[in-house]
Amino acid sequence: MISKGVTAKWLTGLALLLALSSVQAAKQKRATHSLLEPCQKASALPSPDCGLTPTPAFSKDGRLWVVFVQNHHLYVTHSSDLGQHFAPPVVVNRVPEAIYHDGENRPKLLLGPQDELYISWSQKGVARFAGHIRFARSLDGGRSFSEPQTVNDDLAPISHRFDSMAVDSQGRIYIAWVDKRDLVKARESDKVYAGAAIYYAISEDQGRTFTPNRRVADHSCECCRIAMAVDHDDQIVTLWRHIYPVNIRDHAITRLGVDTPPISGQPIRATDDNWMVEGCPHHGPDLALGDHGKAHMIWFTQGEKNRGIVYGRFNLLTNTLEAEQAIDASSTASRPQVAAVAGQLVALWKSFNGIATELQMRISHDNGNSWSASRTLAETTEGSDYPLLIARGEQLFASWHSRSEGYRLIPVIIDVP
Amino acid sequence: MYRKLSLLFLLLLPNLVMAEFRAFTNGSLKEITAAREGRPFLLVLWSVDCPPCLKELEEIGQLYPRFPAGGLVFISTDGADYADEAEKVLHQYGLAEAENWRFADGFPERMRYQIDPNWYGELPRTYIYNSLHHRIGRSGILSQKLLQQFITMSNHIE
Repeated sequence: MISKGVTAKWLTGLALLLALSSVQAAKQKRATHSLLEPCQKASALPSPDCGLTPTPAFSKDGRLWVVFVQNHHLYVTHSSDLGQHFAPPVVVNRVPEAIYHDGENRPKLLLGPQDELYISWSQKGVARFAGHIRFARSLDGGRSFSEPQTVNDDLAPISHRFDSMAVDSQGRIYIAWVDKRDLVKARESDKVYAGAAIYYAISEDQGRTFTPNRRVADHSCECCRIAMAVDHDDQIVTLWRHIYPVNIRDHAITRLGVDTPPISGQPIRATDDNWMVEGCPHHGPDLALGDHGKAHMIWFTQGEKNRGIVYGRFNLLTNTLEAEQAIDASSTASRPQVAAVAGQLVALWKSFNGIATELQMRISHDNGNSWSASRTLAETTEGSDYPLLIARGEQLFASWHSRSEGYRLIPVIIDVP
Repeated sequence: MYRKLSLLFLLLLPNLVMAEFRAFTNGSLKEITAAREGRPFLLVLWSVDCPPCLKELEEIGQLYPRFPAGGLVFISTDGADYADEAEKVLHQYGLAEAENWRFADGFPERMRYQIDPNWYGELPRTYIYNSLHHRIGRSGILSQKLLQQFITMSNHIE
C-alpha cells in the first residue's frame, strides 16, 4: 500500500513531468506546427508570435525589443537571446483603442540615447480614413508606459495616419505622418487639392511634449509609409511617395531639422519613373544613409522607366539620382527594405512564387553600383507581414512575422568578397 | 434537439450578418467566370483604405442600375477586420445588392496571384472581360467613357 504522502509526491512529480513535457511540446510546436490555429483562439496570450505587425529595435546592451498589436492593445516585450525567448509583454495603452496594424501602417519603436523606449502608432478613427498619431514612452526600461498622447494638433476626424519616427543623436524625437487637414480646407473653399500633406512634430524633452505641427509638403500620396533616416548632421532625411502633376506618384526627398519651413512649390524629386496612376499603391519606400551625402533608396513603381522593385542612390549634396538598379521586376515582388551595414548594402523584399512567399535578398559591395544574385532567406506558405531590416552594430537581421511560423529574427550573413 | 438547433443557428449567424460578402478563396475566380459564361463583365478590386477606389465605386454606383445582371463583380481585398467598414461603403454607394466578394484567407498574395500573376497589387484594379472571357486589366479609376462603353456593349450582347 502506498502512503498518502508518497501518492501526493508521486502526483506532484507527474504534474511536474507533464508540465515539463508541455513546455517541451510548446517549444517544439514553434518549429514544427503551424501557429495559425492556436493564435486565432480568443484565449491566445499576447506574444510576438500571435500579435500583429511585431516591430523590433535593439537597445545598447544588445537586447531585442519588440512592439506588437493584439486585441486593441500595444504590447512591448524584450529578448536577451535574439528572439528565442521573450519576457512577459508589458501593455502600452491600458485603455484599449483601435490601432492600425497593417504592414504599411504599423506601430513604430525606437530607443533614445539613454535607452528610453518611444512608441508611435496611428489610432483608427470611426470616420473613414480617420486617425490620430499617438505616442507613449517608457523611461524605466519598459516596465511601464506613459499615458498615450495625441501628437497631431488638428483633432478633426480626418486622416492623420502613417506615422514614421526618427530619434537624432541629441535625443530629439521626430514624428512625420500623412495628414489631410489641408485637403479638407481646400474642399471647404471648393478648391482642388491632390492627395494629402506630410506633417511633422518634434519633441525635445524625451517625448513629454511635442511642438505644434509643421507642414513638410503639400500633395503627398494618401496611403504610403514614409521613410526617415538620421544623417550625420542630425538632419532627418525623409522620403515619401508624392503626387507630382498630374497624378504622377514618384518619390520626393527632403531634410528636416528643428525649424524647417514648409516646402513651397514642388519638393525635390528623388525618383523619376513617371508612374501616372489615380490609384493607391499602398507601397511606401525605404531609405538608408551612407557616407558623403548618399541616400540609398528602395521603392516600388510601375512607371515608364522602371517596374517592380528598384534601388536608387541619391546624392543629397547635388540633389541628383546617381545610380539606379532593378532589384526585382517580377509582379509578385513587394515590400522592399534597404540597409547599409559596414560599407555593404542589403536589399530585402518578399516575393510570391505561386505557393510560398519567399524573403529575398541581394547585396551590393560597391555602394549600389552592382548587386549580387538574389538569395532566399526564408519562406512561408501562409500570410505574412512586411519584412524589416534591423542592425545590431554590424550584425544585420531580417525581422519577419508570418501567420504559421510566428515571429522570426533571421540573421543576414553578408559575405564580403 | 433544441440545443442542436440553436447551435446550428449560432453557426449560421455570422453568415447572415455578412450575407453580402462571399469569401474569395482558392477556386473562387473559376466560380465567378463559370457563373457568367458567354457574357461580358467587370471584375472590380477595391479596398476601404484606398481613397481612389471609393471615388470609383461612387461612379460605378451611379451607373449600377444600367449594368446587365451579373455584369459587375466586386472583390474587396480587405481582411475580416474591415468587413463592417467595407459593408458601409457598399451601402453608401448603392452597391450592397451587387455580387460582392472579400479576400478570405489572410494571404492576399495568394489571392492576387490567382486573379492575375502579373498584377502588382495596386488599387483600384479592374478586369474587363468580354463574352469570350478574354480580359484586359486596368489600374486606377476607370473613366466614365469606358464604363459607358461597357454598359452599351454588354446590353447589346444581352
